[in-house]
Parts: sequence; C-alpha cells; structure tokens
Amino acid sequence: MADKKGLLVREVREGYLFSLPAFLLLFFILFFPFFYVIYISFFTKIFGYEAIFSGLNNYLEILRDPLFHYSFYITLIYTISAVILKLVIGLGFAILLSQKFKGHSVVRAIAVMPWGIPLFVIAAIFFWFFDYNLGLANLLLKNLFGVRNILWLGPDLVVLSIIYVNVWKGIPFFMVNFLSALQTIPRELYEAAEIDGANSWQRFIHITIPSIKYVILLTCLLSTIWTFSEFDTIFYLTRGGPGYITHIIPIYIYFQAFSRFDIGMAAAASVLTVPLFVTLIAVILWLLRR
Amino acid sequence: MKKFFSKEIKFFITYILAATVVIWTTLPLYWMIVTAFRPEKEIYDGLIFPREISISSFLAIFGFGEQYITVGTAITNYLVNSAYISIIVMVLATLLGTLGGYALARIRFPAKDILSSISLFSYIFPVIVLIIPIFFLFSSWGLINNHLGLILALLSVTLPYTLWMLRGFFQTIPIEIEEAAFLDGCSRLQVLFKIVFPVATPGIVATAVYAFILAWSNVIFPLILISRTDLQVLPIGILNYMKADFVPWDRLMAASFIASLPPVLLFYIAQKYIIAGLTAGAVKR
Repeated sequence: MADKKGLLVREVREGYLFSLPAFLLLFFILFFPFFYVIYISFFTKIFGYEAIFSGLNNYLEILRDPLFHYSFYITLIYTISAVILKLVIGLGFAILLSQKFKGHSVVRAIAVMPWGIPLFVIAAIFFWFFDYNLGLANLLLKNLFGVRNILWLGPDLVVLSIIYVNVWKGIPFFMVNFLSALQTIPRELYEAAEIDGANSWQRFIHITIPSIKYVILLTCLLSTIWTFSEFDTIFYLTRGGPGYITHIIPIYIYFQAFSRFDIGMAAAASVLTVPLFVTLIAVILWLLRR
Repeated sequence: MKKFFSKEIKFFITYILAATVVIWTTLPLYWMIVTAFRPEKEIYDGLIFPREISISSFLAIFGFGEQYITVGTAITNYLVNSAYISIIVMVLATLLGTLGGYALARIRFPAKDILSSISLFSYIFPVIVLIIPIFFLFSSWGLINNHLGLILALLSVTLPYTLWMLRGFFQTIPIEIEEAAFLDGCSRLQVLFKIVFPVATPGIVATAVYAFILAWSNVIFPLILISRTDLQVLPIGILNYMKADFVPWDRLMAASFIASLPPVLLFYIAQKYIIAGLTAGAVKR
C-alpha cells in the first residue's frame, strides 16, 4: 500500500503547511512574549536602565506590597459580584425571551446590542450617564423621586457603578448562550412535569437548571477570566481611582509599567495571575472534552 | 388545583418584563444619542428630552465650522487610522485563520490536537498578561509608534479567535462532499476553493466581521504602542476627549456614536453566525 502511505505523508505535510503561517506568527506575538514575561520577571528592570538579575526579588516585593493585596481583593470582589449578577440577570432575560410573545424578536435584538458596542464607547457613555451635574442617572432620580445628586463615581459608590457597567455590557453573552441552551430542552419534559403537577418553580429547578448546567458553568468560567482581566472600562472611567479604590489587577500592572516604569514588578504581577487563568482555562478545556 | 396566575395576568407580566429589558438596555444609549444630536448650548440645561435636534457636534468633530479647536484634533485622522488598521487586521486574521482552521478541522497530522488546544487556550487567555513583554519586545524590534507594530499586536487578539471559530465552522461541513471530490481526483487546493470555501463563506464572513470588531474595539495596544497623535486610533481619541479638564460632552457623544456605528451594524449583520459559532465552538459541546 505504498500509494496510501504516500497520501498520508502528503496529508501530514499539508497539515503543517496550512497551519504554519498562523502559528509561526503567533509564536512571535504570543508564545515568545509569554515566556519573555516570565524571564523578565526575574530581573530588576526600570525603564531606561540595564536589567539586573535579581531572582525572586520582584515576587517578594509584590507579595509584600499592600497595594497589590488590595488590588487582588478588589478584583475578586468586582469579578465575583459582576459574574453572579450577569448569571442571574442573563438567565432571567433568556427565560423571558424564550417565551414566544409577540415582538420577542425585537426585544431580543435590542437586548443583545451591548455585545456589539466597543468597551471604550460604553465607558464614554457611562462617564456621561454618571456625570454628577448633568448625567441622566442623576437627572432621572431628581425628576422622578426628587433625590439629591449622587456622586456615582465617588469613593462610596464607584465599585457598584463599575460593576453595573460591566454587567450591562456582559449580559448579552450570558443571555444568548442560555437562550440557545434553553432551546435544546425537549418540550415533552415540561409537559410531563406539568401533568405530574409540578409548578413553574419546580420545573425551573428540576428541569431547566439541570439541562443547561454545563452551559451555565462554561459561560461563568469564561466570563470570570474576561472580567478579571478587563482593563478598558475602568481605565477610562476612573483610572483606578478615586485614590486606589478601583485599582484592579490589570490597572496595577499597567501603572507599574507605564507610570512607575518598573518593568520587572509589572512582569512579576502579570506572571502571578497566570496560575489562576491557566487553572480556569484547563477546567474549560476539560468541560469541552467531556 | 387552580392555576395561580390567569393567562391575562401572565401576558401582562411578560410585557412589563419585556419593557424593563428594553429600558435597561436602551437608557444609556438613549443618553448618548440625544446628547450627540443636541445643540451644544442645550447640554447644560439638564433636560431629559431634547428640545431641538442639531448635527453641530458632528460637524465640530470633523472640523467643520470651527473657529477654534478646544479638545484634540478633528476626529477624521483617528477614524481613518482605525478603519484601515482594523481592515488589514481583519484580512490577515481571516486569511491565516482560514488556512489554519481548515487544517485543524480536517487534515490528519500529528500536531493537530495540540495546536487546536493551543488556539483555544490563546483565544481565552487574557492579553493583559502580555502587554509588558509585547511593549518591551516591540520596542527592541522598532515597532513602537508604527502601524505595523499595532497590526501585529492586534493579531495576537484576533488570530486565535479566527483560528478557533473557523475550525468550528469547518467541522460542521459534512466531510462526505470533500471525500467524494478527493475520490474524483481533485487536489487539496481544488477541494478548498471549489467545495469548502463556497459552503463556508457565511462562517468565514461572520468570523472576519467579528475580527474587525475586536481590532476596532481594542484599547490597550494603541495605548501602549502609539504615542504620536497622527498615528493614533479612535479609542485613544475618545480617551483624550474624556481626559480634558472641560469635557465637551456633545462631541464626546457624537464621536462615541460614530465609533459604535461600524461594530454595531456589522454585529447585527453577522450576529446569527457569530453566536452560532460561539455556541458550536465554545459553549455547546
């Protein structure tokens, strides 16, 4: 079967030939930088000066830095609350839109809109929406309920405000994933449960949730990674402030490098987030393989 | 047992909830649009509904009828840079992603599984971890303040996406058609151009569209790689408006409106395929 073997050899060659351009490029812009950030994290490197090997010094310094502790804490608070809210509201939207009421496709088209809008535009919109004197949030509260102006991006409320922005932008991703998962649940399951006398809450808990639990888990894991690492809206809205209140990890990395010019520290901070991301991605890959 | 809610009440509640969804989503967008289309003097009256409609803020950001320029330069320069860079990134990411994605979906070769996992891994992996080395390496390669550098950096976000999505799309095409063509003596390239690409065109177009949106929306790479105003792109133009001591709200919203038009329109055109691809490739097993 020399002919068949020849075909197989040709196929292997084609496989490498077709995938080489993409992966060669990714080597220079992704894989090599990934190993380089680990390498540079072992050096004391201030921008404009020679790099000096310093072993684990950057890591020790970061683990002693109270700002890093706070950054990690506030990133966790922000990520966990935003993901839980997106899950609850996204599921609510999906269940509502899975009812075939008149006009549901129009409502669906409106509800997915935030997905298409770039984060930097969303940040600009909410910067104006939350404006103290003239923003719509305060104008509405004043006109409808006579509430005095609220400092949405001030120290007391800023964390809630950035969570709100993240949730507003992130809901469509949850909603759409849940909506397509809901459509795969066989109607008969609900009908049978109804005959058995299950009310809508029982049907939700015993049929809906178990049927879409993998989609829920995957969506939450993906969103956790992307919320934890999201830089744009917070950088535009607060630059990590007021003070250090919204100094999440991505902002910490950025300011270490581009404001304090401490490349080594910034690299070490980046590397410290890797185990978290790798673990979460490994779980996602495992779920997809099941 | 009698049902707790009558049909009419259920119907009523559904519409109340649907209205809530619509208001929740459109409220901030309403605010952008009314501000963008308002005469500047009216901004400071604190009105929820506009009295007059005007396109003066759009004229202003494009530099028409301006006696003096208050914030930054006109938006045209940013817009042109954003458009052409995003298009180049889209074309390159789609081209390389189509070849690679096809190989990962169809061709049997030893590295196939590991390369597939790597592409999914790099698609999900957050780019914030890589901004330090990319800035540093690109400085030493002379790619700072350089559109080629920005294009390469944006490919690190878009190429893993196109690879993974297109792999998913190619897998949904029945393999029998291809096998029949091979038996008829077609070469791999003939099969690709005559059979695979025509069938996969909607998926390829949708992936390209989303790659464009990713490139258009990216903030971090122009922020760290470009400092010259003439080379800068739209997201940083908007950031400059926001950083001003006296923010020109009408112009900021007009610029935001323009910046959101291409991605939103493209998203609606390709939505069906983007979402199908995401659920087929990433979410649904």
